[in-house]
Amino acid sequence: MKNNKLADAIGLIKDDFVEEAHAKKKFRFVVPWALIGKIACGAAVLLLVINIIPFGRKGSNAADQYYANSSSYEYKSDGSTQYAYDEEAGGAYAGGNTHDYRSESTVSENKKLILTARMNVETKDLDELLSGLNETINKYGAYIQSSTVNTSGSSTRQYDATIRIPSDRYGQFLEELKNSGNVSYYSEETKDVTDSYTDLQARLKSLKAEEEKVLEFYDKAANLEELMLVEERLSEIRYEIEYLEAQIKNYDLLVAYSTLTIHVTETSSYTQTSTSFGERLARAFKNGFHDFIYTVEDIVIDLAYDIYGIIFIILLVVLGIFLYRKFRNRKNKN
Amino acid sequence: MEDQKIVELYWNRDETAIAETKAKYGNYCFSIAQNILHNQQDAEEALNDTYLGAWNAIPPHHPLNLGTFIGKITRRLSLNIYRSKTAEKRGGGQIAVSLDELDECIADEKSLRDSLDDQVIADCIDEFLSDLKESERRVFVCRYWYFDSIEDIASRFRYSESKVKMMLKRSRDRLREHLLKEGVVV
Repeated sequence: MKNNKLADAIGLIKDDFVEEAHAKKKFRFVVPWALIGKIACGAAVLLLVINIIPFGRKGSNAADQYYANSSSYEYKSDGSTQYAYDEEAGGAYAGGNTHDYRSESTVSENKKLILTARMNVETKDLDELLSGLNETINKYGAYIQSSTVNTSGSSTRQYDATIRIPSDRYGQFLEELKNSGNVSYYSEETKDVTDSYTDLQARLKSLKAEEEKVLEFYDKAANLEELMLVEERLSEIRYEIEYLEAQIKNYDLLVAYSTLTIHVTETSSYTQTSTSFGERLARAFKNGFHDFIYTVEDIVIDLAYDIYGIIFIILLVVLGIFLYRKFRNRKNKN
Repeated sequence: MEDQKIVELYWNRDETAIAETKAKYGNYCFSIAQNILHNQQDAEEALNDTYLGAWNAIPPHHPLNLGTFIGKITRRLSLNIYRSKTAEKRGGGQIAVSLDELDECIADEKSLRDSLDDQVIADCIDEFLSDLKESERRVFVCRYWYFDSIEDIASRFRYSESKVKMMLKRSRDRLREHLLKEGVVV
């Protein structure tokens, strides 16, 4: 017997259930929070990795540390603007913001000092800075030993160069260069080669004296055997003299021309010097935002490179879903 | 015309209310009646009784969802016609299968307490439906409220027929347990 009472009772269920059962399938946009969450987590990890690993775009602390390791005299944008002076380094440099990096008068004529320096500069217009740099180089008789402009794979342009500057004009050159951009890092190392240089000169002098004596023996040689021995020694002495002269010449060149390795980054905002927590925090947010924009730009550019492949994969997936549904519907009908 | 305006017409005893109801919910009610009766003439008879039923029920009722309200009337009247017809001639059909399935919810040796009001049982079933997953609930209501065939349900929700049967079987088992627990079945 059919249970009429149960069927009648079902007829009285809530309107919502009745309506829900025969409701036409409406397109409802459901925010895919789970997917958004996963993408956000992935992006966060990616950004974290990008920020932790010093790829070199930013004046990263890791890179600064590397430079700092060999410095006896350094300047950092995020720290004090005072220049530490190291007596042992043999430099004679003034502290403070108006730096006379190298005072010619205080460097003893007798001292043989080789100066190498590294500098990170930020600029808002790389072309303008390079133009100014070339003028400064010409003005002070300096020259570029090597240079690289890097524009690929990044939204910021970078310029690296090794510049040789006449040592007696290094201070003026640096002062002028400093005004062309924002110096975010500076380190310098001075190597005193006076002892080695003096030793080379003494050895050269001694060899030249020996050369003169050997030449006297050459004139007095009685037989062929003696002549051969003298010639052999003379040849050795001359080889050593040439070697020492080349070394001295090399030292002279290194002493006469200081070496500056410069790394220029084109940026939209300069790194600000600040010490308070609030300022540093504000700077971190600001710079972080700029880095984020750069990262997004890079991702978009990378996507643009891969767009055809992505479209092809999407089409394959859509086709796969379409065929699967068609196959399933046919199977259900059968 | 909006539902509330049609209801207002009923309350004002305006006969255009029936014409508006027919225009808006005529096909919907006919499909319910046709699902139960499988006979066009009987379905049209049920439909005419539905409009009369609605005329008599509003007022005093003031339904918020006129479609479901009218649908319920159609279902009840169609079931009544079906029962009177099957009393004369025992027959099969989709509705018979559905009602047989519903019988499974009540064990052989047990029966529904006759003294219970239909609305009390309906509240109990509402409670049971609330606990079901949306997909299971929709399938259950399609089968036992609208008396849709298994094939139609499978096509509607894009399930296989065996899946629909399995879903209904599980739902019926759970309904039986629920009715026993609530003391509706003794």
